[in-house]
Amino acid sequence: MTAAQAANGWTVEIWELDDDDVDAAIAVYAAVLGGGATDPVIALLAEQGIDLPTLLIDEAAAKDDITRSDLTELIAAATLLAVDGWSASELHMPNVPKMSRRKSDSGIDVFAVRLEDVAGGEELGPAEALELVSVKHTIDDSAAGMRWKLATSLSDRELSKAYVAQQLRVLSGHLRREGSTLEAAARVYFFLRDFPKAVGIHLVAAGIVAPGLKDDLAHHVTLLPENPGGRLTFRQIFVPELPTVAERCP
Amino acid sequence: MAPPDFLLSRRQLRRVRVQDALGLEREGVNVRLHRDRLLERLAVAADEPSAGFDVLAEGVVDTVVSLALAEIDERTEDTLSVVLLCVKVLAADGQFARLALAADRLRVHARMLDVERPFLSLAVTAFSDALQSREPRARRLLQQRLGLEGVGDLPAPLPRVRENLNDLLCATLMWVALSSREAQEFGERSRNAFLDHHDGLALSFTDAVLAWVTAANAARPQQVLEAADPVFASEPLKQYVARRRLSVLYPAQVKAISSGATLDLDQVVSLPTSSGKTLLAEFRIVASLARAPGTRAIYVAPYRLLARQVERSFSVGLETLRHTVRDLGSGFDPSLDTDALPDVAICTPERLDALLRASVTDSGSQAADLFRTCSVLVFDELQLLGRPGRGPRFELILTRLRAMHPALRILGLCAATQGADDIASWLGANEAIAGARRPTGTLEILWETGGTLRQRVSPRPTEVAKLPRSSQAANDAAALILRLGTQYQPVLAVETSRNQAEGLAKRLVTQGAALAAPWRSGLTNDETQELGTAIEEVRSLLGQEHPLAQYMQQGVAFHHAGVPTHALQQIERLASRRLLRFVCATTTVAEGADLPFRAVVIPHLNFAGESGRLDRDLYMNIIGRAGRATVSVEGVVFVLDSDARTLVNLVRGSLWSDTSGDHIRGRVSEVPTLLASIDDWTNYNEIQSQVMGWLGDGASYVENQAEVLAAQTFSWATGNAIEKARVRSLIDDALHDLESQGMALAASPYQLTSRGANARLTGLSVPSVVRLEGAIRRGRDGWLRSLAGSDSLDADATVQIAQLVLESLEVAGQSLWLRRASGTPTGRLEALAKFAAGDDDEFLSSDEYDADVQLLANWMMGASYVELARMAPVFSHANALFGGTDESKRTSDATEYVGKLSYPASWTWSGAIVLAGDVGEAVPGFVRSTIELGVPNEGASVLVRRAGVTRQAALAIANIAGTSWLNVQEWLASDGIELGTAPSLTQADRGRLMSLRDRLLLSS
Repeated sequence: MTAAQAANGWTVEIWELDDDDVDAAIAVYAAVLGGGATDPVIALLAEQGIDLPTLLIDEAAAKDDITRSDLTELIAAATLLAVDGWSASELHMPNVPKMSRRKSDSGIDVFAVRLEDVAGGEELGPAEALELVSVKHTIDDSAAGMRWKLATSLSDRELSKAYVAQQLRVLSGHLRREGSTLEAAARVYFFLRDFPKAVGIHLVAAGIVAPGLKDDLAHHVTLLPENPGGRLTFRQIFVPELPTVAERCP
Repeated sequence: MAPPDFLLSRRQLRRVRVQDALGLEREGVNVRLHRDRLLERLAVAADEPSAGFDVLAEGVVDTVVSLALAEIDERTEDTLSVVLLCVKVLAADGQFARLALAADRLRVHARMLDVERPFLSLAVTAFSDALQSREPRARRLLQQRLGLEGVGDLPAPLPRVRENLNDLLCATLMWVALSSREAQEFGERSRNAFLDHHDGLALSFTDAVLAWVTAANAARPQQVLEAADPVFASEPLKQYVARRRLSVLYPAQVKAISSGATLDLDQVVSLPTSSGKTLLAEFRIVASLARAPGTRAIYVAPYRLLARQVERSFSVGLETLRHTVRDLGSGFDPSLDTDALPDVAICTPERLDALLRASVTDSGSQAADLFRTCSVLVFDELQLLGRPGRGPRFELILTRLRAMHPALRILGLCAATQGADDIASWLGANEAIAGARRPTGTLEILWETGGTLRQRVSPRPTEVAKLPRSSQAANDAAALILRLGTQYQPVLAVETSRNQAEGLAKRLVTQGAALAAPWRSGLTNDETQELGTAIEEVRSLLGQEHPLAQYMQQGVAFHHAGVPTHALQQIERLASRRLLRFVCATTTVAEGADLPFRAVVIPHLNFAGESGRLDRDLYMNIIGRAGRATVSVEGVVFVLDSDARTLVNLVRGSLWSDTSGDHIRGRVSEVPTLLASIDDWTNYNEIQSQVMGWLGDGASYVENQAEVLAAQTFSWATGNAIEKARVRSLIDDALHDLESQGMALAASPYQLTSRGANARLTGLSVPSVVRLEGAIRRGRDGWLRSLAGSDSLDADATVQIAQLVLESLEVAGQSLWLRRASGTPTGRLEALAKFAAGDDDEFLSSDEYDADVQLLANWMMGASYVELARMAPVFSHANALFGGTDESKRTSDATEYVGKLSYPASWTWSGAIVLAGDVGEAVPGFVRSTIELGVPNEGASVLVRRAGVTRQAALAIANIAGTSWLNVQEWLASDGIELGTAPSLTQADRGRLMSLRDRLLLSS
């Protein structure tokens, strides 16, 4: 991270990656996503005799875009480890591992949650935190669309409490799968209180573009909507040779 | 951050629902804020593992219902995810009735996703079908759209993206849930996949489906029944259960069955309204008859409307097992005019009493067979034991039944109330099966005179809206009803009197005229035709210009004792088909009717009765009409408050009081021996009649008779020392009176005289018997004997019959002459006492007595209500019976008058036949029907009874075919209906006749 400033109540960070950073990201991608395992969803469908090709078709042309999306999500997740103080075990990424490389669901791409094991507690403690990251990239000539999508994805219509509640149920499910008790995992729902303004909640928009779009993105960041309250960060991430980076992925 | 005020949010959401229902502005309530605030509670509840059925706290159920019903402008997926979580929570608790209704919301939102996410839409649509017990339809839909049947046109393939893959898996999971036993395992694996992919919506869907699968499997009728009662493992009963096509049982039913409700034990099942008690009774009957082939069941229904509904329901349900079901009638009649006893006999308590008395006589062998072969007796609405009036009679009938047939097992069905355990204990059962939640909820709203609408919530009612009140409750009620959205229709308004009900209907027609046209244009052709058929029948009964027919065209009806039975049935049918907008009724409709009202309005509180105001018992019954299972997730009840001196604080202080005494207790001790009114007189004579019944039942030859009988009563079992002493003293008084009137001999112990033995079989009061004895002596060798062998009555005979039945005090109590004899209750009691003592000249020579005779005779001859209204005297007081000249009002008067008179009159006739001995035995049986049904010959009376046609139709056909039933049968068999020889019949009657003909042909 090279700089931090503020715009319309958002904290704005600038991240400039070099070739070594991109190589490291590609290495992670290869390790996590390149395994060739079967998507359990496809396996379950096949088990019931669902003839996938008649119902769903592959769009081969989308492959590069999908790969880029996966890579940029990994890069955004790495920023959480680098500066936000999270550990890898606290991160939850809807699309990782995705195995069959399909387009991701819209919405939040990275969730980070930290809960204390407080039996019988009725409210969150000071160390408990939730960070939600929406990741978008663009290889267009302008970052306008990306900035709009990012802002929208963190708006109260897209990031509604109903949506957040759904996602927190998933987090609760993960926590229980990892050994938390029902009561401990249910603490995650305390984040619904005064969402997203409550202390401990951090929303991040990660906009990823090639370095050539630096000035354009800087301009569009000034057009972000006014922060209605809460901790909001716009993370500008510049990735060298972004348009062709997918070709380097396995 | 500290927990938010969840209670406040729940209240606010309910508040909004009331405001929305009334079309009011949402006064500053942020629905989204409160809905969102409650999501935390919902998510926690959704994560909880199921702890069984019906265990959720009321607050959680209320929260979930509030969330499921909250209307918010947001992304469809968001609403869907919330409703799915609600479904998950409700399913885990077995709340199937609420689920069936939440399914409507799912379906609406599924439709919105049809283009963008067709597989999710498919999955949710199929799930909604399953929640509404339409599993075969859901399976077909999935099979077709998932390409599993190998034929048909599949939609164009979608891009293979994550969302579509997950949605497809949701649809596949639904398919597995509906077609395989591996649903749980497949669902768990799908759940894990969705967790991996962080797909919260798919996760919620999966959780909801799995919860429903688990709950539904635990509530499958066959499984529940077989686990609780091995008799249901037999092949015939398995087939019966399968053909009953019940997807699931409600938690209350599961609990009752699991607690042994179908076993051959004495049981009391005390469940909330609309919990499906009748189905439980059906299962019990099926089980008992299967365990003891050749035995029978008796179902006692205290209301005629309820008896009709039970007969219809059982006839369909028990058809598979070829059990015959027959309504033995509602009146007191000791004869059993049937070739073969039905397997399941339905009757009122009064009819049961008559048969019980007959069963110990030489001529009562069929009745004796009925009880001897009866393996289970179901007594519905058992909480009525605790009601003044009929309660003591029911109590003593049951007391006698227990004494006469101690081996007969009783299943008592009782509304949820305190004291059911006492009834159970009295009947020798273990504690009552009780404690279930009502399948749907009810919002109770009080509209205060100051304009504040307040909802009943604990600990104190809260304001939900403001709407100014005027000085006229009826106007306010009309305005409120018209404000309610169409989704609340049909709305039921329960009024205090006929006039009020009709007046409100009129207001609704005039003030809501603008809403009638769009309502009518929204009906399908079939619905319009159905409505037209009903209106045609109402016109044929009440005249072309009667307001009821006009109102019904606007979707408004009134329902009270002044409306003929056929018209009432049409109104009930239209309401159940939602082909009416508003029904304004007196309390007649509140008594056990299973009609689909979502909203109920109570405009006035000054109901007739001892207290002159709405009592808690009736209130509970009325609000039980709102929001019945299969109608809505919740019903809403509006009560218009009054600041009249006697009514002030009635609702909040009594009707809504959680501490107000609704504990059932016996009422025999309250029957006075010092008589101050006709009601007192009637109640005392009821007791005396029951004591007389007991003396002849066969178990009364004991020392200390009063003590022995008293000690067997429910009033004794629940009473304190003073109340016990009163019961004993009352019975003692009755015994002494019977002796002084020549009906019993004090022969240590008391025994019935031969007069008493005859009088006992009539079920009538002793003074009535005494008067009838004299009248029969006068007529036995004349007109009475001449009735033998006839199949038709002439005008002279009907006059003689009318005069005879008017001898009884039960009939006189409803007569015009008594109404006109005095303007005060005390004056009328004195008049009745003089009549009873034989000091009757002034009454029998009065114009009103002549009018009674003429009206009753003409009723028997088949005069229409309009004709009766025209021949009735015209009294000056417009509100009085036959007061004023308004034809429609007088027609309603005639209907009500005949309705009140014909019941005791036919009872009296049955008693007279008994008292007439051999002459009575020779009198044809149809005469009783003539009095009850108003047709003067055998053919017409059987047609009314068996085909259910109107009197006009029956008379017209008997005129053509002949007056005997044989003539009518031949005419029916000769295709008289089609051959054009039929008179002009309404569509409804034509349909009934065709149905009867088909049944006759089938049985022949």
